[in-house]
Amino acid sequence: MNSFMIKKLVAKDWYFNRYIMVAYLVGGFVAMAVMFSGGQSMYTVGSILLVTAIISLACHLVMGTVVQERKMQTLPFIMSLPVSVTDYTVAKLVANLSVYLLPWSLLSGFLITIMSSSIIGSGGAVPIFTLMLVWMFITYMIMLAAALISESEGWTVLAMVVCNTAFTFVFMGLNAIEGVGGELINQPDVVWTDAALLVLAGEVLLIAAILGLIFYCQRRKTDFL
Amino acid sequence: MTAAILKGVEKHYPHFSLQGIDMSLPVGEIMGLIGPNGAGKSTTIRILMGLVHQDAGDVRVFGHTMPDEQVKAKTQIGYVSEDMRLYGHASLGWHMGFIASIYPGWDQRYAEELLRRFDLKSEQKIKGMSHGQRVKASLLLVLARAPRLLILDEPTTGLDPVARQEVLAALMDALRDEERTILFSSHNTQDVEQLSDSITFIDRGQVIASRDKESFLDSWRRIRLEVPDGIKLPVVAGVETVRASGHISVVTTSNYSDDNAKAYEAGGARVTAVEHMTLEEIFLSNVSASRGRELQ
Repeated sequence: MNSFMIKKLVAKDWYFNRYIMVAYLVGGFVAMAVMFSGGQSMYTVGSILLVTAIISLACHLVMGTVVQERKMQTLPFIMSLPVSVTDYTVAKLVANLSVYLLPWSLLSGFLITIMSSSIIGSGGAVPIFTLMLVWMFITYMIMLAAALISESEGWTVLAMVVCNTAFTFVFMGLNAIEGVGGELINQPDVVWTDAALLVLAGEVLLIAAILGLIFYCQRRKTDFL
Repeated sequence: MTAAILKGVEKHYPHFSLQGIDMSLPVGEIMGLIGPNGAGKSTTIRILMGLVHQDAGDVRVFGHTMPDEQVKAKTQIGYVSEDMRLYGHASLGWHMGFIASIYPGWDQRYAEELLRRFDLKSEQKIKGMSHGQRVKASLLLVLARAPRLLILDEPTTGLDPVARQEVLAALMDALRDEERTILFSSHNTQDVEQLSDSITFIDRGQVIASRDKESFLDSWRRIRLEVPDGIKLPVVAGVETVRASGHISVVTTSNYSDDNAKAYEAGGARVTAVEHMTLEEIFLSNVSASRGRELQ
């Protein structure tokens, strides 16, 4: 792999997406401020705003860095540089994951820390919130994989629709699992049960599988423009 | 020494195939690749760039096997294509800095000279540029890094006459470096005729002719004949097409010598004119002969 060019391409995507990243990060913190400003309704409104901010960041990045690059025909410019398809794929993954994971980690970390604190006393919801935050990262990976592998705006939008529709069902599914949701959510302390850890492990495996699928499909491509 | 070579290259799509492409591009040569839309020019160039993998055949650029060694090969290639765009929200200056940080051979003084010549402003964003300015900006970015091989896929398509002339003049300048090799694809034969040393015609996925430009222009002729009733034209070597209307026949030949005209005279026809052909006419005759029918 050509690490010199990968760094250049990653720096390029960071440069083009720096304002987007900051905007969504600020949006996420505003949502959290609403969440913890007092009252159940504000908590719900803030949660919805936070989820919206994280999902919108994912959609924005995938469309902006992968789909638009092909649609706006800037891909031939990049591929005329000394890079291979693997270099391009690695650069896209590193750039996307870092631009996404920085605000995601800050927002997730801040949210989990606040929820875990004795002042708020909603530690019981930490596992399911964590699993949902990781699920949002998975949906981002699915959308990114759809964009990179299919090179199609249509398939990418379909992946977005499916992932975003699935969000509620995944939450309902997790909430129905004993040891993840249900009465556990109302407990003041953080309790990581075996069931919650098993789901988390499954999510991590799914992320690894999506990454593997991206590289497998990209390596098999014979036409890249 | 050869800059690029393609041997027996094939690429098959459901509705189009490149078949048995053989091309050799010696160092310092300017080759024009001419073909109608959909002939396979861009596919051939993308295979040469390693962006499309050939199904069969061997492709080498400066000795590097393509597509496996495309990274090494592309350090020495400057590529501009008609469907290539720069980042609209970034300025030309940002692009210049980006390219300069990648290619150690970037010549800032030459880049600034090209800025002036092309009447471009480095602080201008690409999205605010006209098509002609965008093409010139792309060309600036490749010329200022002094690549050993310049691959231009229809760069003059859609340009107004002034921008086209500016682009061609800059390319002529770039050709002063005798070590620089250029592959220039176009369906505009005038541009190719102006620049090229050698010409390759491609049609329906096949190379139908490939020779040096002067040889093409010297050997092709259009012979106008008056053919009296009852006289049948003799078979003459090199004849590509024959069109007859009443007593008038027009013969195109790819291997003209004075003997051709003498053979027709000896056969009873009267030669009324022997005309040189333009590259476009030669191209059309080649395509016509290749397809086995007359293009009107």
